Amino acid sequence: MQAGRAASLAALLACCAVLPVILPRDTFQFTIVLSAGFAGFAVALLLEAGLLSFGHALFYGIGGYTVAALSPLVSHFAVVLILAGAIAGAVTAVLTGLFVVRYRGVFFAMLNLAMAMVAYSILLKSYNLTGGSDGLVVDVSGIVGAQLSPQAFGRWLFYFSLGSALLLGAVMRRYLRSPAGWALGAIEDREIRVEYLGISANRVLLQAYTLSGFLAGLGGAISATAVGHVAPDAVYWTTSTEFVVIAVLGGRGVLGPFLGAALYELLSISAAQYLSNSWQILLGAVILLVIRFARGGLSGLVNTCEAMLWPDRMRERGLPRGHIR
Amino acid sequence: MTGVAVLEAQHLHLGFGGVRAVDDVSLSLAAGEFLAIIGQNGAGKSTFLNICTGYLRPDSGEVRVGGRSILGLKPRAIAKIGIARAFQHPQLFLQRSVLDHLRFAVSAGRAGFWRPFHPLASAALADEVVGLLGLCDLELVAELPAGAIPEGSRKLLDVAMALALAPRIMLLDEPTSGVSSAEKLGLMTRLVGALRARGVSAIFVEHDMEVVARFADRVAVWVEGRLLRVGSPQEVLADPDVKARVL
Amino acid sequence: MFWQVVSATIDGVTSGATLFLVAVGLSLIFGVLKVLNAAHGSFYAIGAFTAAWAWGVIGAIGLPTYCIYPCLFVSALVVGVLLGPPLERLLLRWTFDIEPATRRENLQLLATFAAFLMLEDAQKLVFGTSPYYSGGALGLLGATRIGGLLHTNYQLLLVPLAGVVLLALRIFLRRSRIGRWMIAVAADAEMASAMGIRVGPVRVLSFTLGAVLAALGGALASPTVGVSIGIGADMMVLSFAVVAIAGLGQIEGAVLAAVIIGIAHSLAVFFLPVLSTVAPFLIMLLVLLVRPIGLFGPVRQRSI
Repeated sequence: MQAGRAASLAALLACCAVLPVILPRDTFQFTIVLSAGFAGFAVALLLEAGLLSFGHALFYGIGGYTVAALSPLVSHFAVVLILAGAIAGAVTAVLTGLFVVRYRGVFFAMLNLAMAMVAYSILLKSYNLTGGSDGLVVDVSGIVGAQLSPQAFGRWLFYFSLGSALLLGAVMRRYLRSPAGWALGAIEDREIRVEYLGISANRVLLQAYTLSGFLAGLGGAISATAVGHVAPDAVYWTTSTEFVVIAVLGGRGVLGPFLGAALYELLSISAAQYLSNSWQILLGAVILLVIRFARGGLSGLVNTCEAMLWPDRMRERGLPRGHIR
Repeated sequence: MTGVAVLEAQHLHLGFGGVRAVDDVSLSLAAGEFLAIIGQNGAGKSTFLNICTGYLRPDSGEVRVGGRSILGLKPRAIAKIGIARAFQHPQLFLQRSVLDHLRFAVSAGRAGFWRPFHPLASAALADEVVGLLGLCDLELVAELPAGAIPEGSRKLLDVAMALALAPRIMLLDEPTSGVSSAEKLGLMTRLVGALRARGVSAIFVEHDMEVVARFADRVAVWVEGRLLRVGSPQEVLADPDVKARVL
Repeated sequence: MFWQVVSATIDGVTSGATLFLVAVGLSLIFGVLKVLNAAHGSFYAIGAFTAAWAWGVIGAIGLPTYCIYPCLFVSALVVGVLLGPPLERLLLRWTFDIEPATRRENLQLLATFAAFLMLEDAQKLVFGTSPYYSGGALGLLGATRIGGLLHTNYQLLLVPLAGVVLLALRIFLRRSRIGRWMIAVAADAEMASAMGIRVGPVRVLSFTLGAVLAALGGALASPTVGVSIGIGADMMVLSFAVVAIAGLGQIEGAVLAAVIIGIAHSLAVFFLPVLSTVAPFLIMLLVLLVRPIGLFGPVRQRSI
């Protein structure tokens, strides 16, 4: 990564790191933004290959329910619980992916939706196992063993999430620059060519789908831990569409979805105060504006600014000039 | 005919809604041979290549590679057997750079492809990529997105990607269309030279008879889905019947 | 028990009738514009709201109650014609030139989804958040006893009505000039344009016709259900399930699929309520598992 970008990223991280100190009562909100960012990134990852999933709440919810199920056993090890949630998301993704990656376009979108809704029904009706519509309580009070006060726990959970975002961000960035990750964009562009090179597009997509499930599961696990509760609406289609909006708002790359999550959270908080009956009108309008005039989302806007200010940087990154979705 | 047949098509039939695109075609490609296919547009030449690469299934007939039938195999499996194809209309990733195309194509056959942290732009493949750039005259446009380069370069990129697979058999669909006539011969000389050096057998569909005369070992003449004649370039190009119906 | 099954089946077929109307609209829009209209459920809902509101107005003004029947059709027409063209213009017209196809489809899906979101709130603002009931319109035509259980004649009439619409649609598509244009654009828009057909207006017309059909489904269904916020979303998923099972773009196949879904839903409500919301999804998953392009889907070849 070049010096300029690294510096901006470091500055951003530093700002994030002091947030719980400056605004301690909003720490919970920031953690939620991070968890939504993970889920949005999960959707954005598949969008690289042109696959739009309207059912990613499935993995998000399973991450949350896994934490809820295991929390009585390891209530002081949030790290373990959250990791378990992420893995549960990945496993679910592999199992459903085997079926779903054979589809493209609207079928892919709708099949994901269908699977999430089936899960919703199951979670809703299995009262004994999942608490039905009441959901399950998540009682976690320690990150790596020691019991913490609720405030301290909230703070450390945020730092853990931030650290995970950094780590996974770096990992996913490498993945997207590897042949299998690069193949995602190639599949969207000209899938037949990929096949003619002897590469199985479905296998590439299954790999991405599994990673996507991991990330969404992680988001759901963090969210459940922060909120202290998980309910079937975690897998409802409205949750899935939130993630789609976040992915669209945020744009490509690793940072994009997190920016998108922050923007989405900001919009929904302001709307709750001023526009409670027309929040969806605002949301719809924002989506239309973004897809029409700023298709790269926030990260695209960042790229445009960067390209205007420092035109040589784009070439160094290996991207042709003006390469914006 | 010299040598063993590496690719053999027997009695292929394929019809599309009343049109016989491929009508009882039998053709074989010998090892190391360069077979040119000529014929008017719409005669079924690309369809034949589509069948040989598993993109279309014939209504009846057989295609064998090294004795084994390849019918029913998908394009992916056929690419793995060692048959590579360049298209009439280049199939490229228009947003991505030429360089990335080649890096991707070169990685495609290697084991490192599936390693998640192995960068696309790794040094290990650089030599091959640079070699391909030079061979197909793409050095000047290497950094540009594929959608922004001229038609001729796009065709060459398509060819280069096929070459990157290090195939045993190459199927080229009008490889030099879009390239200026001044450069055609030079390019074909380099291409054919590289293929012969690697012992690759090739079928190429071509409209430029000069290219055909110079580089083809044998020529197959395609008229309305059927093979009119197969023979050496001298015989075929002098044949009055061929001249009348094709040239 | 047997008669209960019969009754549930009849309920399924009659609800399948309105489901068919909505699904056929969705299929038409997909066939001609190649767009999955995520706002399609909204047309249904708005059609239902308008019809239910009209019922209230009829009562308030003191008109004879049978006026509701022509009002149902008028509501549907008005809703479809008022909403269709502007939405097509705003949401879709700028997308048709985008390549590659996958990106275009996703953008269209997102655009229509954004419209769905906006229309949901718009419904709240225009019609309020309390449910509308126009059940009175249901009983006006009397009822029939089948196997000991009563079915309203209104519901029973929905089936032949749907049949009439299907027939009319078929004749329109095959015999009229515009209908044949629609079929041509659906088969190959580029070719149709080259033949001189004006693709843009055909698209607007098809979208509007699809909207009218969905709104008609909503208007006709409004006496049988409580019209409230959220029926649009439910119907969207159901109609997609029908279209997915039948095969995208299949008009006649949608009849069978709508009936299957309708009956499955009905039987589930009756015998296995646990499965009732999930039944359409399950059937869709099952069908697509076995036959990915739908029961009657076309097998297309792309040429390279």
